[in-house]
Amino acid sequence: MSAGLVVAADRERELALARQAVAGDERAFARLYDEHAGRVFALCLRMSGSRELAGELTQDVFVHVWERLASWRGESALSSWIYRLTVNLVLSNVRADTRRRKHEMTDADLVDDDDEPMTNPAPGASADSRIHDAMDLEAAIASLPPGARAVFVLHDVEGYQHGDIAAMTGTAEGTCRAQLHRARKLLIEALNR
Amino acid sequence: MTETLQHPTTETLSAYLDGELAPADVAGVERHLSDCGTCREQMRRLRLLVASAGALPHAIQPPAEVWTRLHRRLDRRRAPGALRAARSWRTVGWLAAAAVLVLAGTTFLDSAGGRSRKIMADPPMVVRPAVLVAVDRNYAPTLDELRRTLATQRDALSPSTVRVLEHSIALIDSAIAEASAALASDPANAALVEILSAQYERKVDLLQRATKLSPSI
Repeated sequence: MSAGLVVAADRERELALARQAVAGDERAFARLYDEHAGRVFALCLRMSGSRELAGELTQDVFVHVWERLASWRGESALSSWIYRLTVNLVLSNVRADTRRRKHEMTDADLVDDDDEPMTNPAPGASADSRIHDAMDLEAAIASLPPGARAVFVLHDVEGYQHGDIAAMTGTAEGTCRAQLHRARKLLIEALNR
Repeated sequence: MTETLQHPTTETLSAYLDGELAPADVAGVERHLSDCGTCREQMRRLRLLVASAGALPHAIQPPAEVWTRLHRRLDRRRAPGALRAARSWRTVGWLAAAAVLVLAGTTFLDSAGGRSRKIMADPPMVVRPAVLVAVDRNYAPTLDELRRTLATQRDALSPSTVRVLEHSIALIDSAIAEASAALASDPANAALVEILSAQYERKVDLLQRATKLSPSI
């Protein structure tokens, strides 16, 4: 079977499952949850930096899915629809949280000291070339400022392009790039301490 | 970015890694990297970081309690959700039919008990249409639970937050009262059921958000 046919068959299966869930079939909705909760939770966890909040956000995402599933017509993959919804919801939460902390995410906030030349690594610094320990990296990501964390997760972990991220976050592409750079710089510092 | 003596910023190295630099800047960075072990080490760290991030698992299973709580939330929302999502004329029709029965019952009571009412001069009997009772009942448990939760947290909120919260609740209550009154006079009006449900949803949403507010806000 060609890749195109596989995609079409999968879309048909998702549509059928979604229709069953919309019609009130709880088992169909539970299957949708089982299929997507892992990635939704991972996205919520990394973008929020809090396991407890990630649990609440995951619930919120699936409440929205349940309420809006009838509006998904199968134009895009259900997974894309759900993850886009997740990103929007988590970003709203990040913005609200940022407002609460009175640290508005602005362009000025993004370029604080980043124009400085990089700090030179110590001569003979560890040349450890293995991949970073996932736990260390997750902890370092969680310690990032919210805006930089969101862009890093979306770009370097999830693989979204800056154009998509800019559209989702409502910021300029240049701002997203600055956020990504800031995040990478902070992470390198945190991981090589 | 043409000089080789000055270290490029991390931003420049990051942009170089992502292939976003202009050709002239690429040449400058590459010249510098060929001469500078410090910057080669920083590039190696950048590459390692990006590779490590891309290798993180894309799915992390949530704790089982997330599904349990989600299921509970959906149970509470299920009836009004069905009304809204499906714009179910069947459901609204059922509620309207129930309302008609209540109204018919009221008419019957009025005609049967009219004389005694006149004699006893009772206050007019207030009969709420079934559709109104049904919508109220859908939200009452959730609202009660949220009110109880909020009551326990109220002291932790700042006076200005409490003031704004109470004002917002009063506005929504006023909209609920208005929609309820309209529905009482026109119980078969499905649009009014939608509007009333939407106002209740707003109230549930507001109270849910309020219960999540941090102390001292």
